[in-house]
Amino acid sequence: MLALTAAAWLVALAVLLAVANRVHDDVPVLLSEKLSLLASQPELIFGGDSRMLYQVDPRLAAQLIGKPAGSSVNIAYDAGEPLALLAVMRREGELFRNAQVVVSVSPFLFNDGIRQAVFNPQDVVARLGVFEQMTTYLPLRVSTLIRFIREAFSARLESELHTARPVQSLAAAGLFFLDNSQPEDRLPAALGSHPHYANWNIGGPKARFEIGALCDMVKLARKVTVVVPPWAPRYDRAQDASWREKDEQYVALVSDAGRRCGFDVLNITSVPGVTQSNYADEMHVNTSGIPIYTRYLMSRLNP
Amino acid sequence: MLFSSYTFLFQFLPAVALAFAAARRHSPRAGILVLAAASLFFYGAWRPVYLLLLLASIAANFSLGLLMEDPLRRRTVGALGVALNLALLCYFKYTNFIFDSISALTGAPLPFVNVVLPLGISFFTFQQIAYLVDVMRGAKVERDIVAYTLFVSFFPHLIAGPLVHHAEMIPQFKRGRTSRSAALAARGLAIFAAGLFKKVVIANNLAQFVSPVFEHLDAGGAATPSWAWLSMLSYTLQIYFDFSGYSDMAVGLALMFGIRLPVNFRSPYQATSIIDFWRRWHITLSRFLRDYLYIPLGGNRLGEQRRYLNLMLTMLLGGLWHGAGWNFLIWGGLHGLYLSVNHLWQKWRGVAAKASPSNHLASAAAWAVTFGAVVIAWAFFRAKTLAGAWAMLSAMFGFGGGSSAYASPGILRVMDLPILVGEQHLLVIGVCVVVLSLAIALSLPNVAQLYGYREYRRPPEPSSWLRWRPNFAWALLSALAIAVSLFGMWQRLEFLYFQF
Repeated sequence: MLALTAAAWLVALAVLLAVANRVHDDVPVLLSEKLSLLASQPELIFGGDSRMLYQVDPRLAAQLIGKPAGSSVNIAYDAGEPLALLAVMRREGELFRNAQVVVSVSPFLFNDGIRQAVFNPQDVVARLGVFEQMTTYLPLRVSTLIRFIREAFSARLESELHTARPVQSLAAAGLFFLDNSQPEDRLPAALGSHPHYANWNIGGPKARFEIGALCDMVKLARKVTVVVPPWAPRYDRAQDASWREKDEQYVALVSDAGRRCGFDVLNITSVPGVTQSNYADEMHVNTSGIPIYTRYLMSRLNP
Repeated sequence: MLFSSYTFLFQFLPAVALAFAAARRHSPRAGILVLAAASLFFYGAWRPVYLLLLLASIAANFSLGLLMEDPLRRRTVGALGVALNLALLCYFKYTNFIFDSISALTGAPLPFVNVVLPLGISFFTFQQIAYLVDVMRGAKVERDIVAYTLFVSFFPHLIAGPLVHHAEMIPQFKRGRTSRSAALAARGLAIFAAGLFKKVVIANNLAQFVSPVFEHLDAGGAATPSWAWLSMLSYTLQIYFDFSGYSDMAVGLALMFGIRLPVNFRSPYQATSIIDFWRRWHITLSRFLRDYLYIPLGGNRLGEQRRYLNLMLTMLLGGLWHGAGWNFLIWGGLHGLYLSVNHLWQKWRGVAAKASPSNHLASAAAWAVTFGAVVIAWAFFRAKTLAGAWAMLSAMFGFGGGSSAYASPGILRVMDLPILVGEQHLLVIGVCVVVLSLAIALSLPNVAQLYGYREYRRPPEPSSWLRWRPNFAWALLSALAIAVSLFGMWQRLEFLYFQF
């Protein structure tokens, strides 16, 4: 009976995945919730993943370029991916045409070796067929597929409801804060073995689709800048050959695409003035680090 | 750890099954030790500190039992033990209710005591009270601490019943040979699959028509009659499929280990009288209330008036057992009233009427009255506030009034996957779901009949038109039930009876 259960479950999963692929919307709920920020017709739009979400204060950015509040917004979200931002840019073409779009990227977006639900770009999963989805993620990463199915339905619902719900972050133009710093013993010892770089493989569909999305953004915005944010200063690239090698590969991947497609790439390996105490964990600054990081990023952007 | 959780199904259960099978190869006693250890781990996984409470309760009652071997001290020690158990239950379950009630009556400000209700405390306390009372009445004192611990803590029934009796459990743990076999395990697994399906697929999907409406009414809102009826009928079916599903899972799990638990539900919504309903609904609680409350109060031996008084007292306390609140008390009181009316009706009609040939129309009317009475009482059971219950009943019968009528966002959740269908379509779908669920509850044999289950030292359930067989077709059906249920397990809805 257990074998029969497994067979029945696989068939049911395949059916559900097929349905999820049909209902999937590239714009996830987390991003949909922030789209009302675009109503102010901003000139500077920060998008991407958590390293933009928690690190860049768009109000300060607006101040620094001498523009009113609302001219800069942060629509990044946790584990955000270029494909989702591209979908928004296509949907809201008018709002992006005259804006500079600044997108953060992280290694997990391009690394096909990691398959955990939390790090997996959902829009890439949607571009695989049912068979490929199942062979890629089963049996150990079934939770990734379950997350995909759930988020597909949630995203579809969100897009059908067309509601711009107020979220806590909207008052801060899209910025979220990380108030606490993790204790030393919770931080990874070395980045070479960090989940972002696990089973390193940037030759698969993730890199292909996400880089393609970055390229497609170019003609939809006034200017596109892709930011490769830094890791916490406690990690020394010189001492960690494994990390350095993988990091250089993915930066090269993004830089090559930038040259080819016409977007700028800002590879920030360190931020002057930021210390370990300004970091909440190994990759995000805490509240104290936000102004320093924002000022530095703006100085490099030259909008 | 819920039965319908991935942790339980894919980690705990296989590990325990393998450890039990290995231990059984050594000796039956070793198997019992494994089950006892696993049960304590199961309880401790929720909140380790309350494992100490469970262990203390077991140790205290076991020791009191030993002290009661002395006939001179038996009654005193027994009474003390019952009082201690009730005090423990009172502290954890009723402190704030008592304080609130005193405050409301006297106006005296009494503090709110931040007590977390230990899971299953009502169940394991009642089971041990029954043990002490039986020893007071002359039953054999249990001297085997492992068997006693397992009787109280056996994980299939620990959290939400069935309420087991020591005389039907402990002898099973002491058999030199258990009746384990592949067929028995297959039957257990099939019963578990049916229970899982009832809980995860039927009850959980019905919940979406219940919670938002009751929340709205409890907050002072109103509802249209159509939403009120849909919500009330959905809850009526949700609580049945939820609780009976849990009981079925418990029975199935125990059977996988060769242990037979008592049946807790026998198609209660097929009942044609309230007396009949209580013979089919939460049977093990009814049995406890009858044997350890109603009969000691005098039962029906002290005249008609005392009988109705005893019935009312028993049902009021039965209501309070479910939760510390006036709504539960009213629910119990209503059922006490129903039962009294039912007994009066039977007396008025006389024995001759009972013997008369069955009349389909009369049976249908009797069913409708019984079902309607049960549905009305559930309004008090489900609502968080008295006003919420009244608002529900008012809305059902067209007297709705309140700050604002409930408006659904029109989102259907199929196994928690949201689909926008619009409010009108949602109502229609809800009605279809209720009709289908009611048809299952009314027309299909219950799990005990379907699987030919046999309670300990009881004959098998009477045969029904549909009967499980250990063959491919039934295995496929069970496999489908589990497979579909696995997709519903990603939503974390607790069993309704966990709160009791």
